[in-house]
Amino acid sequence: MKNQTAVSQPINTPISEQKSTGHQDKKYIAIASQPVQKTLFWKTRFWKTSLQVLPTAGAIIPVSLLFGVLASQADWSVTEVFLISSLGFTGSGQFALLPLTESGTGLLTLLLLAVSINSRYLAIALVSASRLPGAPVKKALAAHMLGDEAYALETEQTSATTTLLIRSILFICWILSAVIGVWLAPYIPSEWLAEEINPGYPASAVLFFLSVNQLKVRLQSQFKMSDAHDERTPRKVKPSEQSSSCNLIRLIAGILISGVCILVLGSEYFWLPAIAIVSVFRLRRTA
Amino acid sequence: MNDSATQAIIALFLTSLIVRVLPVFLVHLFRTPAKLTKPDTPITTAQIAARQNVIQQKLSGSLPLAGNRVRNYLTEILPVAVFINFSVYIAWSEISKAPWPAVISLTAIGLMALSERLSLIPATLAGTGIYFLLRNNPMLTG
Repeated sequence: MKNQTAVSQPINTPISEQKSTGHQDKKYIAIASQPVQKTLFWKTRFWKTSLQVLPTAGAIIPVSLLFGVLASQADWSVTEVFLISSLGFTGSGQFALLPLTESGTGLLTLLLLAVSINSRYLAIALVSASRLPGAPVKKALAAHMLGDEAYALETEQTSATTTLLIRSILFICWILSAVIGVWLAPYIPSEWLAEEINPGYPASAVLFFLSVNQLKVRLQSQFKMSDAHDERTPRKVKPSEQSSSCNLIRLIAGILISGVCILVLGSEYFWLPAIAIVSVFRLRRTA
Repeated sequence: MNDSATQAIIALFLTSLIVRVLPVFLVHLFRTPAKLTKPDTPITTAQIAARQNVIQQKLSGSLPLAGNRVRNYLTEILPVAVFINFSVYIAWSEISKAPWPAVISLTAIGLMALSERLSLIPATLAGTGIYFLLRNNPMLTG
């Protein structure tokens, strides 16, 4: 049985809501005015997108709850947890900085560490910039709410409104869960927080599933593109076999490069060098 | 609010501005005029002349198609590189906590994602279930 629901897939916006160019835009603008577009979005896409995002939001709740509990144990107030979750909004960064604040680490050290840990967002922000709203405030807000899970749910076809909605849902879930974590902290037995429990695993599982899914979708589209290109340029080797095997080799090489970078630089500082090397390697092979 | 919490909040907020907000506005600045111009916006004579000049240069082969390469890099190459690193990072961080349960569980989740037989929720539940079952197994955890 092939149970392919929309939940497992990155969220695409229907053709009617996608950004288009040239004469298509003129046609689109002529057909649907702004108020009609907004009404259509709220009637159709809002609930559908929300339902698609909820499973992922559910997976980040335990992680954020845990942060709230740990922050409460470090004598952080609800206001402080609310502010760091909303203004900071970075899972790994928040967890990394929490113990450092207890040891009295300076602002510059905290900033350098946080930037190093979250450097992957540089690449992700660049890639996802085209699907953000045009208005500067909305654009800045959407950019700030960018998270790993949101990025894994979006595609190039996701409209600006849907992107904002996906990010907002995950952002609000993260903040609320952290605040609830502070309130729940006195009632949670200490053995529940032990290392062996690993409450962050469901979030890792969700992100891993979405990453593999995105890789599959993206590499499949690249197979098709290279196959189409090969059909125009006749070769001795069967084109589909050649491009598929080349892409598989590139994927394995990318995984190996990433693994070596983690080994050499550590899991906190490998992001930018690894992304740069893997992408340059893929670019050279593609050229 | 205590000072250490304030410092952490400031550090993370500045981080968000540096790594998430700033790149988005930089990309916007470096976009070509053709992309920034809305279809219903009148084009000036200077813009038409500039575009014709670029088209002529492209046709004559004197200017490499840098725009297409950048777009290809940002929409195809870079996302794949990011997701490869995501996958490896998740696998690495979970394997370092509990090797065998993580290997078996993530392999199962990966296969489910590739086969498309299960959607996100069942696959995550199954993978998480496998992980915690194996993690509580004394033979695997030692």
